Amino acid sequence: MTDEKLMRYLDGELTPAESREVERELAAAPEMQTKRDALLEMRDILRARYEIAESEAEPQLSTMWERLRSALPAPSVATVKPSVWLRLRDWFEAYRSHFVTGVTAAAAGAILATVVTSRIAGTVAVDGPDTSEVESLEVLNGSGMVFHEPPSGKDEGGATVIWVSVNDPDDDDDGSPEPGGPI
Amino acid sequence: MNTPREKSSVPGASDDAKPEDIADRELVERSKRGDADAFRTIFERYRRRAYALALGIVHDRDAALDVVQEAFLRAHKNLGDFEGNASVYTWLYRIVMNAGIDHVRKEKRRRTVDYDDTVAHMEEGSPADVAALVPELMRGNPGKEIARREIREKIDAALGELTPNHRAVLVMREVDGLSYEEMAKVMKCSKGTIMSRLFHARKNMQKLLLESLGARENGDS
Repeated sequence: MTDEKLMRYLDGELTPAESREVERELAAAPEMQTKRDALLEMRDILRARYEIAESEAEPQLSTMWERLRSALPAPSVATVKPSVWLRLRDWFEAYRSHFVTGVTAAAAGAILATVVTSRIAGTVAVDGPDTSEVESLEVLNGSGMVFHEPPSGKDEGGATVIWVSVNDPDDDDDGSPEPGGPI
Repeated sequence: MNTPREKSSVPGASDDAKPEDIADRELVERSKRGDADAFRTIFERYRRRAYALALGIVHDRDAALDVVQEAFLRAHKNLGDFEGNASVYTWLYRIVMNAGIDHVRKEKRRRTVDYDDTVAHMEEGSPADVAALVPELMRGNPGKEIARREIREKIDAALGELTPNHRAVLVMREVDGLSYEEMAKVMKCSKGTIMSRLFHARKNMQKLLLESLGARENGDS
């Protein structure tokens, strides 16, 4: 077994089959076990050394953000090209109030349209007043009489008196028609 | 033996998106929209690891702090470059790596020349291979031994002899537990190059530790 293969084994870079082969060889080769132990020990030394170094630098690292923060340029949004989805989301966020207003107005309009439509539909649906067909019309001295056919569904017809008058300022009469109405 | 960093906070070898990865990506998306609190959360989450990697590269405490700050500034500036399917820590580590290398170049602190990274040079029986036989240097308790200042200084001196790339791969692999593939992404190179760097880094570190700590052991006995 080469040193390089031993290192790859210790680094977890071999396939399971290769690793098993190395382990078999290691079991039968004390000198390779010594090399393995030496490599592992060096790994421990380096980890321990750098952990201490990190801890020693912690005071400076913990205050570094403030310096960084002041040195950072304004948000680099202008230099960034976000994805379409992100741009859509940002756009929505920016115009959120507009969306709310628009949706509310649309909902109110829809409700209003529904109500009006139903009323119109109701008017159309309701039967209109009875209508009669005029049978004859007699007019005499400012009054007239209309005779009409009975409305559908009724047996008797009727007559309506119409008073016709002309307002004349010189006339003593106040121009009010004489009371009258359907007979 | 110490355990690697929790996989819940640092990334394993699998490409499957983990909940923490998704949460990280959401933080990045919020940061893109100018949410400073989201970016602060990213900073708080990764500042220590970023510092360890920076320290691995520049091997100087104050310089490492500068690199971390510069890296997070660059990260913020380049939030738009983050690809949604990538891991935040890999993206961030790459930025730290670049900032660290830039710092090294700028300060001209590189004291050794990079080793030839080709695997063809991994010869069995080479002087570096002898250094593989360094068992129990720390008497089986590295944590306790490293608490001693003189031991730390010797380890630091050994680390100081390595190249920035070798220290970086050691930190990413041994301290953070990154996979070869993840390290390759961070360092923008092939897995083969990572394996080569890691191999040489380990061999040389073992040799240097043997020279410093081994001599101490002999002196103690």
